[in-house]
Parts: sequence; C-alpha cells; structure tokens
Amino acid sequence: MEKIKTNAGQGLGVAGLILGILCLFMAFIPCVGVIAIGPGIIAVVLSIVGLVQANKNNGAKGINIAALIISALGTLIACIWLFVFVGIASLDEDQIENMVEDVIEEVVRGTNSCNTDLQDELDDLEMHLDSLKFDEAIEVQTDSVKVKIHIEKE
Amino acid sequence: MKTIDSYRIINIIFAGVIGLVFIYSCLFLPENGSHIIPSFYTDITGHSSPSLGLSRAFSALVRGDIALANQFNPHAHNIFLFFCFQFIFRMVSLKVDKVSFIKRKTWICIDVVLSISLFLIVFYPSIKFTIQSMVDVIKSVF
Repeated sequence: MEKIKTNAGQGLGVAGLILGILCLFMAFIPCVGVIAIGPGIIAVVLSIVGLVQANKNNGAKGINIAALIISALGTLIACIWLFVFVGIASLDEDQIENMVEDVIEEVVRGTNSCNTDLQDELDDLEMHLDSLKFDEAIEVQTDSVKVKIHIEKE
Repeated sequence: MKTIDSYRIINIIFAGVIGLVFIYSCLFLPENGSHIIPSFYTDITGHSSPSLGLSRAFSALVRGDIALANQFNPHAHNIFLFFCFQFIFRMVSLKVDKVSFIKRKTWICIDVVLSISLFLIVFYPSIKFTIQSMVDVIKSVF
C-alpha cells in the first residue's frame, strides 16, 4: 500500500531555507561575510533535522534538501572568509598590502567607476582660484561643509 | 491535517527582512557614519571593499540623495533597486493564488530564475571580490 505524504520536517525545511538564503546572501558581502557563519550553521542543523523527520514520517524531502545545499554553500563561503581573516592575521604587513592592493586594483578597473563629477568640480574650483586676486578671503561651500580661506600675499 | 504554505511564509519573511533593512537605513543619518553594523573587512585589513559604505549609501538613498549615495558606494543604486524590486515582488507573490493568468508553479520558477539572475548581476563586484580574495589566500597558503 502506498504511504500518505505528510508535512513532517516541512516547517524546519522552510526555516532552514530562509536562513540558508540569508546566509548565502550575506556570505557574498565582504563587509559582513564572516557573520554568515552563525545563521549558516543553524540552517544546516535545521535542514538535517527536517530531512531526518521527513525520512521517518514520509514527508516531502525536496525543501529540506534545497535548504541543506544552500545553507552548506553559504556556510562554506562564510568559513572561507574566516580563513581569509585568519590568513591575513598570519601574513606580514608587506604581503597583506600587496595582496589587497592587487585585488582592489582589479575590482576598480573592472567596475570602471571613477567619479567624474568630483573631478569636474575640482577643475572648476582650480579655475576659480586662478582667477582670484590676492589679499582677499575665499569661501568654499559644499552641502555639509563651509570653508573660509584668507589669502595673504608674502 | 494542517498544511503549510511554504512559499507564502518565505515571501512574508523576506518582505519583513527587506522592510527591516529600509527601516535600519531610515534610522541612521548618512553623514554621521554611526551605523551599528561595521565593515569587518575594513576593520581587519584596513582596506576598502566593494561593499564599504553600503549602509551610509542606503541611508542617503532612502532620503533621496542619489549624489551622496554615489560618493559612499557606486554600486549602491543597483543594490537598492534590487531590494525595492524584491520587496514589491514578495508583496505581489502573496497574491499569486488570486491571479488567474499564471500557474503558481510557473510563478515560483520565474521568481527563482529572476531572483538568482538579478542577484548575480547586482552583486557581481562583491562576488568577484569574494572569489578573488579566497583564491589569493588559498594560493598564499599552498
């Protein structure tokens, strides 16, 4: 006789899947990648428990397997971030500087995100300064800062 | 037996999480830099990463200051749009059963493919940086 499908392990699978997706998402953000270990481990445990329950009581296993794969991948990337930091801690200063500079250079080159507006503003400011006479005060105002410079001829 | 609508629960929770991200961005001023989540990468290495300044950029974006957000993080616009899209998509997905022109299963497939593709496009600089950092450290170890 065919067994009836139950909801066993489905709740844990959903919880594992949500935490797993959040973990994977966080793991790809360098600033907070290492924190993803916490939700990742919880997600792996929930998925495994859910899978065991589903196996015992003939529940749906798909969601638990998906949750386990995603959370394991997220935790793995988060763990590698931890190794990155541990590795950096064990390197000497020159090695760290060279390594990070290479990576940043490549990313900056790849994204090609130079701030042309700021450069234009600086050029305008330079032209403005050239046209000014000496022995007077200059006021430079931005959105948040107001600078007053008094120039004296030597 | 009580049935669990997994897709509905997932949508509600993700909409809530994205809502919390927006609330977090609203709570802190972009100029202060007093956001409670630090950049662990910058704190440890002392160098910048593609995700540096994202919280401040989000705070600027929720206030409509696009130019300031661009100064904090040039990728923040795309990521913010991704979050907005996801929030709207989660809300629409809650009503997917009431939409007659598309099957629920088809909708879920579209959701999965679209979300993964957009994530890869929007987070490309961060993903590339993550992979490169890992490769460099693995190379230095072996």
